[in-house]
Amino acid sequence: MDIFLQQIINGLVQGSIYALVALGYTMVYGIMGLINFAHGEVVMIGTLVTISVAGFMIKAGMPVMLAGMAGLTAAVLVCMALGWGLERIAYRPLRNAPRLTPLITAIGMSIVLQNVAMIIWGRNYLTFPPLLPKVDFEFAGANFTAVQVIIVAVSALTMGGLLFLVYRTKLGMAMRATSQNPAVASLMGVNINRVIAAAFIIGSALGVLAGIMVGTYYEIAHYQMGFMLGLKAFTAAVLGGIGNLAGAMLGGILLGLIEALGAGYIGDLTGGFLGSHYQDIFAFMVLIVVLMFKPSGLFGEKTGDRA
Amino acid sequence: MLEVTGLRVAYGGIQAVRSITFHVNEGEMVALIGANGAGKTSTLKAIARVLDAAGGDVHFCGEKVTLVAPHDMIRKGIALVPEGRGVFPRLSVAENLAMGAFVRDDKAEIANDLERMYGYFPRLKERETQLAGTLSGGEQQMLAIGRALMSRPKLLLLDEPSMGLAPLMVQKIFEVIRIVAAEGMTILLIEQNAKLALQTSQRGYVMESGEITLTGESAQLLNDPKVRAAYLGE
Amino acid sequence: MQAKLSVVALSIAAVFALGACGQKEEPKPVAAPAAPAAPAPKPEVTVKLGHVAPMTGPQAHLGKDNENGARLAIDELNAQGLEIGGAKVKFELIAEDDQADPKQGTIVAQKLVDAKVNGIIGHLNSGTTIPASKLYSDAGLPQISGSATNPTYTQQGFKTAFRVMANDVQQGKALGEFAAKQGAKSVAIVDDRTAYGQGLADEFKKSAEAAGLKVVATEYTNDKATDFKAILTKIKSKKDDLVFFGGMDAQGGPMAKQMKDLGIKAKFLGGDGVCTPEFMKLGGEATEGQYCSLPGMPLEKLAKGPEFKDKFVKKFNAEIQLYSPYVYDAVMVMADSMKRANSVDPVKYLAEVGKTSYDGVTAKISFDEFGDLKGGAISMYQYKGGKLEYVETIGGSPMDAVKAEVKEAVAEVKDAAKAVAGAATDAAKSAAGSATEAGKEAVKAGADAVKGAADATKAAVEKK
Repeated sequence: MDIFLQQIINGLVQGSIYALVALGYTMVYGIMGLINFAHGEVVMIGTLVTISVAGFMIKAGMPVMLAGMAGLTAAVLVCMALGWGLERIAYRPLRNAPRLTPLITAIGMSIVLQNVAMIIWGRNYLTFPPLLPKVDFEFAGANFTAVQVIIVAVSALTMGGLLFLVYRTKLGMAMRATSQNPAVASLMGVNINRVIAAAFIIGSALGVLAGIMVGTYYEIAHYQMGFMLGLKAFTAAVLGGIGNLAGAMLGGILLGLIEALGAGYIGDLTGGFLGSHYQDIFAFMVLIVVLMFKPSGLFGEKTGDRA
Repeated sequence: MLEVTGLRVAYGGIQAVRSITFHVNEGEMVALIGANGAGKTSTLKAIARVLDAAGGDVHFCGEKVTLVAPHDMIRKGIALVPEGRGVFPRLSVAENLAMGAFVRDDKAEIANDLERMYGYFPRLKERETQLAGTLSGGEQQMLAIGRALMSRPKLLLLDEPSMGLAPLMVQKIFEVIRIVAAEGMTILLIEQNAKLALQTSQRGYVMESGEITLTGESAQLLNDPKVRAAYLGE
Repeated sequence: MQAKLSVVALSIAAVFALGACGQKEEPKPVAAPAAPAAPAPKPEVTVKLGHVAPMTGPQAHLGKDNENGARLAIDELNAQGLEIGGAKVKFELIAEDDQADPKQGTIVAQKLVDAKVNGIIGHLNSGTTIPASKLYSDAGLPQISGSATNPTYTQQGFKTAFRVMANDVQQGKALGEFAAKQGAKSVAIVDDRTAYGQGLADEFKKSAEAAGLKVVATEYTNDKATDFKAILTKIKSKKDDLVFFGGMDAQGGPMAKQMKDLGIKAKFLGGDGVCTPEFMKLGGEATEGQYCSLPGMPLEKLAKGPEFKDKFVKKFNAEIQLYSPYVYDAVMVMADSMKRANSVDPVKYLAEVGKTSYDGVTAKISFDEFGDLKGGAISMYQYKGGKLEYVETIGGSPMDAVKAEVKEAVAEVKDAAKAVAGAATDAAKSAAGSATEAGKEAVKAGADAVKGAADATKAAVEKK
């Protein structure tokens, strides 16, 4: 039982991170029907900027918490600019092109960003400065750290904030209107370009937050870290129903739990036939089964009523 | 109030609107009638800047608005009720109406106007929290008109408000249009239902193959033999 | 098409590069293997040795270290003024960069084959050594690597492939024995599913089980993963004493850290992939007290080690990084084989490489039938206070091998003695007094067995 609880905690933490990244995919997809494959790279760059800035500040003798905040602020600003720049340079000129074109561009941007990061930060793994104090807890035989608690709490708060933004503010309403019918939203006075840019900027900021969580959790970062994280988060978004915010959140957490429980129990369930290296397969099998019965994902709207 | 001079609209190489010139005076309702494909909707879209004109000019209240950004047209005072309603299906009725007032900041006034819309269309009040996508076609048309009015426009552009609706519903909608017009709203109405349009409006233009072929008082046009033969099925 | 063009361009560039190098050399007669002794001035033969290692990229420092090892050996050989086949030989190093990339590795391998070098020293990485070894084998060029540890390299059936360092089979074996020695009773094994990680883990498992350890969990990850909590949680439930990881430092470091987070008390053990400063950097304080292994022995423990170190530091004004002593030995072994064959022709001296018995810096070098170093040593290290500390060396020196055989022989003697005792009691039981004759015979047979065993022991010791 303590092991089961431990796996649930593992999954919840991992899932919170997936959920935050998945929100970035789903926001952009919801508004402009584009899968921004470069989102994982934005997360990566945010993490690396934090390392550089916070690392520099700590070396300069700043208190760790303050350096962390400075790193976070710098990373969020850089990545908001990056998200905005991506949209402005890579996607806006292709707004009316066939859907495949911006998709290919997105993959291209992802490769470009990876290589730029490799040039700036090098090929080696970087260690993330320990921004949070190391405190361990034990509960019913399960161990967890303060970092894990903070990750889950910050994710929940951030997601709550995002839901408030989208469902309770004017900008949020404009975003939803734009996602449903951009031409008419424009007639109502909504500047579509600004709303789309806002989606990119907010999504990027969420991504940075997720990246910093990954950094403080694993204490390492690498120029290729965004790829797998992005892929998993994208899967989570599809699992929950891409374009749907609640879907992305639940999809992320679900994926984290499936992975943890899959890795923990798949060997025992199959009598050792499948080992823990099949944990990804386990996650994708769940995805396939869900999509078989609900092609638009767990919370996805039917595509028919997209105006 | 609205001056359209030599307006042209082209899709690729095909001319949909060939240099038309007309105007709408403040406080009047003008009908633009014509067969399917005559270029009526293109004209309206070009005025509202949903489409780029291929040539010609549009002046509104003396100001040239031919190059204004589409999302700024509503700030200038022009609201379009698009063909096919274009409600936001996954926004509630109230949110759709609120979207109409997107460019306004006066909360109290907006609340007043909301009540006014519910006054025009009591059906919308009943369905206030329902998603717009679940409404009937007629209710969606009501919502689209109400939403456009929420911006307090100076000029209301109506694109085929009767399209695809049951006769009873058409009646109800035109009742409201008449009330709004009577309250002093300037309206440019596009209709395939020429009889209804000419009965409602003061002046009319007849469009054929992208050109204006006939113009005059609505009552006169109603009696014009050519119009009667071509558009009133007589 | 693009790729093909660039390959062509590269080989053209390579040809030009070689041309340029060639011009710098003094004019000399064409390399003629085993040329007959000429009359007045002795003919001089140039022996070209190809050396391959990554000279650019993150492993460039290791590549340079390897090359320096080879240069030191060549300079010493040239200073000795060797004569082979009646001609004075001059060794020359042709150094190539494979960027630690298997594709680039085969490109430069072909270049060296085309340049008609007499032998190959390298490559540095297993990943580049294995594909390149096929080209050298096809060309009949002897190849000695000082650092490629993957067993596959010598298991492909190539007569030309040799290494002067212990392979991962030997390493896995040593790690298993070490685990048992540390008193571990149960172990969980994790590998990263790469050729290196999986290979090492498999060998470790065999050895650990043979040493009496219980493998309580076998889990897997990959060489890109960062999260191991799920598999570690499962491992935690098995309450084992040790976690063995077959993989690299980029995973090992975070894994050690996450073990700590989860409150796993088991020790962490890994191979050379986690025996790096990087492991410590990524694992932080969680690496304290953990163990890892490196093939070979620490230089200061070797008889000729300090001397080599002095020479190296004096010549290059640089510290030894890792493999240069092995590369130095590789060159020496190759030259030694040429001497014994009295020829620098690869076809002729190849057979002699296999028969090598050379007292090198790193070990007494001789090869088994696969071309692997016989009795390759593995050294164990422990992370203490942010440093790697030498613990002990397992296997390796011939003395150890002898000790092992003596131990076996002693065991045989013990068994025989037991048999004697058994026979004696049996005889006593069956013959109740009168049949003393039979008893005597049994005792005699037992004594013979003891004598035989003792002879075997003596023979074994003498053989060494």
